[in-house]
Amino acid sequence: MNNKLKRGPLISAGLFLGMGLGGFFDGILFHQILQTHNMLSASIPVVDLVSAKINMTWDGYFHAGVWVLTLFGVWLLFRAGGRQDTIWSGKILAGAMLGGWGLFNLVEGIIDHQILGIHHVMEYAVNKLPYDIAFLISGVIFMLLGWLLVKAGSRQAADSRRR
Amino acid sequence: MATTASLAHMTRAALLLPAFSVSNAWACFDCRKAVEAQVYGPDFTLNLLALLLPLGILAVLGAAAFHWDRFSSKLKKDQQDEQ
Repeated sequence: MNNKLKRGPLISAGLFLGMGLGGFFDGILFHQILQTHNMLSASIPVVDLVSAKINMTWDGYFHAGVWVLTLFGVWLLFRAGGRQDTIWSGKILAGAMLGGWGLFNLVEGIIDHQILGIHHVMEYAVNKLPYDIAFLISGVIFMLLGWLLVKAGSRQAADSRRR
Repeated sequence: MATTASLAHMTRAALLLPAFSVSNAWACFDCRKAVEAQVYGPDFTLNLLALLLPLGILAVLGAAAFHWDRFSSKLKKDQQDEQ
């Protein structure tokens, strides 16, 4: 029976939490505190109060979206906690959250920065590409670290079951 | 006593509600119309879809991870079959 313990429900919950919180980190740090870009700052550059407020509105829609992802992650985590067939491991959850954050940086970076070009990490820099690439690399690094944590957590759970 | 207190709260809330609906309570009274006209213009749906596209893809990937064990065990089985 122990061999049938699943990691999927906890990993899925962690991924949603990581993607949502990663989105909030992006929004809080880059959009609000550092103000290096906004959601549509490449197509609607911030040049006056009106354009700043238009971007602020679209940032709000983005935050609403990542709020839904986070809320769904909390719900999945609650459900995973009540399941008898699921591994309950802090390392797996932390790894999945880190992986989710990395996945957010990678997917958002590829689609918004590279394909659609609706904004860039450093919108007002002369050469935007190095910053966009650094953002993508951070996504890959977070995903790899998350993967290693999930593997370590799975191994730890398997060892404790054998004892 | 509790009824009087809750009645006071309700009265205060009722008095505050109209305050939120008057235009002076909105940020940037002067530019609000210009902002709304551009946000909720013809490009609204397109902008919204562009903005939500990565989040939709992320949601699909996160939901797929729910079946992680099925994928990983199938992958292991395929590797063992190949060997």
